Order: sequence, then C-alpha cells, then structure tokens
Amino acid sequence: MRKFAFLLFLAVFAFSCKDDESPKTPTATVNLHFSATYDGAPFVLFQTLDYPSGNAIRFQNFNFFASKITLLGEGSTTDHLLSAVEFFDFKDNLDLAAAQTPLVRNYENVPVGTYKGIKIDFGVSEESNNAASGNLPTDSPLRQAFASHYWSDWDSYIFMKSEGIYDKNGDGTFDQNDQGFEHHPGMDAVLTSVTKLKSFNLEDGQTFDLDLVADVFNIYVENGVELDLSDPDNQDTQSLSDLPLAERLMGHWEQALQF
Amino acid sequence: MKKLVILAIIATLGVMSCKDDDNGTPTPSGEDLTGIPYDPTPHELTIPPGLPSMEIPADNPLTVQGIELGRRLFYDPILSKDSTISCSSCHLLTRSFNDNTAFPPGVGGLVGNRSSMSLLNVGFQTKGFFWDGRSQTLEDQALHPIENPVEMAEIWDNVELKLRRHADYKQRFREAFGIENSNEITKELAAKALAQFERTLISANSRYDKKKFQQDPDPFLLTDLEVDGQKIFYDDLLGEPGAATGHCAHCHDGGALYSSEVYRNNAITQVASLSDFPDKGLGAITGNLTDNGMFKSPTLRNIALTAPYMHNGMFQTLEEVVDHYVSGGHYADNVVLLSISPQNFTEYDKQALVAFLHTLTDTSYYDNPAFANPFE
Ligand code: HEC
Ligand code: HEC
Repeated sequence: MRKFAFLLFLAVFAFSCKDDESPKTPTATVNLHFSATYDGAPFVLFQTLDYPSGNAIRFQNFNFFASKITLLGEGSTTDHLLSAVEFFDFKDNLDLAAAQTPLVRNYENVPVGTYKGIKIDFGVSEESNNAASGNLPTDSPLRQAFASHYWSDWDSYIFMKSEGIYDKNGDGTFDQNDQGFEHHPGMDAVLTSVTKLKSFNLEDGQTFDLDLVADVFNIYVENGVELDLSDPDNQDTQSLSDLPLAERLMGHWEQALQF
Repeated sequence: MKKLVILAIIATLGVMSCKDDDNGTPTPSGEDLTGIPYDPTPHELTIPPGLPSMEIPADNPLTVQGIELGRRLFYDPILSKDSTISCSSCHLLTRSFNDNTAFPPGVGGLVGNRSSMSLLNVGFQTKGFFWDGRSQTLEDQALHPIENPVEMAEIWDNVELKLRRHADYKQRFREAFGIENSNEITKELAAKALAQFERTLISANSRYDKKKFQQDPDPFLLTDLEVDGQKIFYDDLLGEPGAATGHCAHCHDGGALYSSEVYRNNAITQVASLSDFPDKGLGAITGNLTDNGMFKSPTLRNIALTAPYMHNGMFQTLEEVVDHYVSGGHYADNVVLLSISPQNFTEYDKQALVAFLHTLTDTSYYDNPAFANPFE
C-alpha cells in the first residue's frame, strides 16, 4: 500500500513536470491601454470641439494601425515584441464614459526585467502591407480591417482614418455648407516609427498596465499652428499627390503619442 | 402475451416521451440512420486573387456533403409555409443572388421594407449580415428568413418535421453531419448546411477583377471610358488638378469585395434630425443616435444586374445613383461629408463612372453546376 502511494506520488510528480521541461522563466502580463484625447480631454466623437483657428470641429471616425509594438530592454533585458500589429478603433467613443474607457490588449508571458520605453510603428509594416490577402490569418487585425482599410488603388492599407466636419463658415453649427475632411494616409512611405522613453520594471507574476494616449489635437496642431482645414489641399489624402499631407499628419504621431 | 404487449407499449411510450421533448407530448421516435455511411469529404476553398482569407467556423467545416445539402435547402420551397418560396426566390442566381424588386414578395405576396442583397462572396464578410448588420454569422442569419412573416412565414418546428419525414433529406443530413436518428435533424443543422453553401458562392471574374487582381495583360480589357471611371471611383487623380473625384472606394473597396463593410449614412434620406429616419438601420440595433440612418455599404459586384438600388430600392438606375452622390444628397450630422460630395463632375465623368460600374459584372458563375438549382 505504501509502495503504491509512493508510485502515485512519483506519477503525479512526473505529470506535473510534463509540460515544463526547463525551469519556468519568470514572466509578467502587460495590459496595453490605449485611450484617445483631444487637447488633453477625453476624445468624444460627434462632439463640438474647439479648433485653434477659432472655428469648431467635429470628428466622426478615428482609428489607426500600430505595428511592431516593442518594449525596449534596458541593460541585460532584451527588446520584447509585444505585438506585430494591432488595430485601434475609437468608434465607440460616443460619450464621456466611453471615451474614458481605454481600448485594451493583453499580452502574457512577457519576460521580466527593466525596460526603458516603448517603440511603435504607426501604420502597417512593409512586409505586412504587401502580403497576399488570401493568406491572412482570419484573426489578424489586417484581415479584420481588410475591407475597410485596404485601399486597392495604392495596394496598401490606410494606416489611419480621421474623418469629420470643420465649421468653415464659423457660425458655430454644422451643415452642408461646412467642410468635410477625410484623412486616410497610407503607403510604406508614411509608416512612422515613434519611440517613447520611460523606465519601468516587470516582475514575475505581475500584471502591468501600460497606459498609452493618442492625442488627436496633436495630429492636427504643431507648435500652436493648426492644419488649415479651409484649404482644399488639406481636406483629404486620397491620391498620390496628397503624399506631403499624409507625411505631415503621420509625422505628428511623435507628439500625439503619450506614454 | 397481452401483458407483454402492454408493457412494450408503455416502455416505448416512455422512451418516446423522453426523447426530444421537454414538455411531455410524445413525438414519433424517428428513424435509425446508422445504416447509412457517414464519411464526409472535406472541401477546400480556393481563394482567388483580390479576395481575403475566409473564416470557417470550427464547428462547421466545409464538406462536399454539407455544401450539397445546403444547396438543396437553398433552392427548396419546403422551407416556406405553403411551399411557394425558397431562398432563391429573392436571391436569384442570374441576379447576383439578389433580385430586381425594391421589396421582394414572400409567402402570399407580402412584402417587407428592405431590398434583397447579393450573396456573392458573402462568406468573406466579417462585419455583420443584413443591411443593419444585426446578424453576426451566416449560421445565425439563415435561421431568420424561415420565420419572417414577409418572407417564408413558416415556423422551424414544422420545417424540422417536414425534413425529418423526407427520405432524401434524412439521408443527406446523415451524410453531412453524422446524425444517428432522423429526429436529430434540427434548424441549427439546416442553417449550418445553408451557410456552407453560401461560403462557396465565390465570384472574382469580372473584367475589372481580371485587370486589377489577375493582372490580365489584355490592353483592351477596359475601354478608355471605363478606365476614366475607374480613376474617379478610386480617387486616382494622379495629380491632375480639377479632375473628378468620386470617393466611392472609401465605402466600396475591400479589394475584389467592392464593399468596405462599413456602416454609413450615404445621405439618401432627408430628415430633420437624427431621430427621424423612417428606417433607423444600424441605429435600431445599437441604440446609438449617431448610428441612425446608417446601412452597410454593400458590394458593387454585379451592381448592373441588381436594380433597383439602396436598402429601400429608391433608385432605378445606376445613373440615378451617381446623380445622387454628385448632388451631395441630404445632410445629417452623421454623414461623412467629404465622402459624399464628389467633386468636379462633368457629364462625361458621370458616364465614365457608370461605365466602370459595369466592368464589375461577373456572369461566369452562371454555368457553374455547383451553384445551380438541383431541382431543375
Ligand atoms: C422574401 C424574400 C427573401 C427570402 C425568401 C430570403 N431572403 Fe435573404 N434577404 C432578403 C432581404 C430583403 C434581405 C435584407 C433584409 C434586411 O436587411 O433586413 C436579405 C438578406 C440576406 C442575407 C444578408 C446578406 C448580407 O450581405 O448581409 C443573407 C445571407 C440572406 N438573405 C440569405 C438568405 C437565405 C439563406 C435564405 C433562405 C433560408 C433567404 N435569404 C431567404 C430577402 C429574402
Ligand atoms: C460614405 C460611404 C459611401 C460612399 C463614399 C459611397 N457609397 Fe455607395 N453606398 C454606401 C451605403 C451605406 C450604401 C447603402 C445605403 C442604403 O441602402 O441605405 C451604398 C449603396 C450604393 C449603391 C447601391 C447598392 C445596392 O445594392 O443597392 C450603389 C450603386 C453605390 N452605393 C455606388 C456608389 C458610387 C458610384 C459611389 C461614388 C460616387 C459611392 N457609392 C460612394 C456608402 C457609400
């Protein structure tokens, strides 16, 4: 009987080791929180907002791809790729409560250590941008947003969609006499890599909240100077001739991303 | 002997009443089907260039037997109350699996308030089915027409009974899904079969598909007029100042899907405020005021075959549709204004855009026996 108990013990022991050949590497869980703001305040779609020109503005859609989201290792900690690509869509930011609720992505098994910051490519990286759509894994954000964001004419994804209405005549209301805008930058040339430095430690078993903010105001305003939305050249980015505007808007991710 | 018979009767009754039935009414015990071989053949889809990958639910893999069963159900009026209406009554093969009425008649000629929709490439959709996106999967969608009073006006309990009694269907459900008894034929399995068939309805052979996605080298595939229309559709100004921009692809792209699967208000309805849409579309499903009047941007594949247009069939011709977009339509707070104000249009540009829409026509699948009515 004792022998049997011992055998049982051994068996249980053997079992518990089964899935676990090497000693368990210490890991943490990272919860990435992405929220959107407009000049520091929660970003609410369809809300009338102040634009530096003095006229009002309203957004109807705001979303973007973030690729190669990487934690930058410090010292002996190596860089860790959290995600190859994510799609963040603030379509539900329809009231204050929703706008204060960030979009969340969870990443498990992140190696512990000291990290000095984060690096994100805004847009879709070149290799994914040119991949055949028929082979995309069906759970990939590139597949999920294929219909809405793949722009056939450029053979490229649209990296960011920012759409709305600008109160062109300054009467404080919005109607057909005002100016729509639709900024849809895409193409490899406007992929924008942003690095934000801020040290943090990940400890074994810890759940770490990585809070990121996209400030939409900062996409449109640089050093107090806003994109002039009454200028027809600034109202959309559809064709190749709009590349400079696309570059300018995507370039503003450097100041729009806060960590 | 008598005792035995009585016992046997009681026993069978007991077994019967337990079978498929919670409320105690006895149902027939069904037919044992285990004598019929169950050996389903997996069916691999070939995805043509220009189309994305297709998600197949893990619990409903495509099989030759499942697809064939789905095809039969699709064309069979047995699913309707008076055996007059099948799915194909409103989703006609030669009409892009759509039809040519504003409001297709169901049983007894009753009509609803929505136009039919194309089923070509429907399996690639991931953002909800129906004009308002209220159904999330094809398996769920297929349950609805049966009990819709203005479509098939039947109840599923009856359909299940009809199918369970039907010699051919009993065998086909066994072959497709491995059921052991005819009583295991359910609406869920019927919907699975319909969804399997729908996932095979792939089309990617229009002239524009060939030019853009199959890199067909034929220089005469599209006329100059059509190529100009293509540029307008995709805002491909190529730096020409003052050239017409249609902005169409913002809602009708998605590669060879010609649907961006977005829900938008394309400014076809004049309303005093967002609460006033006669058909609230997406807003009725989400409850968000700003979703009122939003509908799915449908595929423009085979659009030349499926007049009249829009969820309510309000436009008779593609020319009328283009005139609508060029006019800017009716403002509402949720109209993406820049998309719905095509710029710099001349009469030539309108013709070119309509001509381009005609290059999205693919009738090559007409001859595909796998899509055809098996009862004809
Ligand atoms: C009486 C006409 C009628 C019949 C019969 C009918 N449909 Fe439809 N179908 C419609 C209409 C109308 C719509 C759009 C309804 C809406 O948006 O509310 C539709 C929408 C659909 C859609 C959504 C397509 C998309 O792109 O979102 C699918 C799928 C579909 N039907 C499949 C079927 C199947 C399968 C059957 C048979 C079981 C069937 N239909 C029977 C008229 C019909
Ligand atoms: C902002 C998005 C958007 C843009 C831009 C847009 N559409 Fe649409 N389109 C829609 C929506 C949404 C519907 C369905 C609307 C409804 O039925 O309520 C639609 C419907 C249609 C239909 C009818 C489809 C059917 O099955 O009945 C045609 C044809 C069409 N659009 C062509 C075009 C053309 C051509 C252009 C460019 C001039 C264009 N669209 C631009 C969103 C858009």
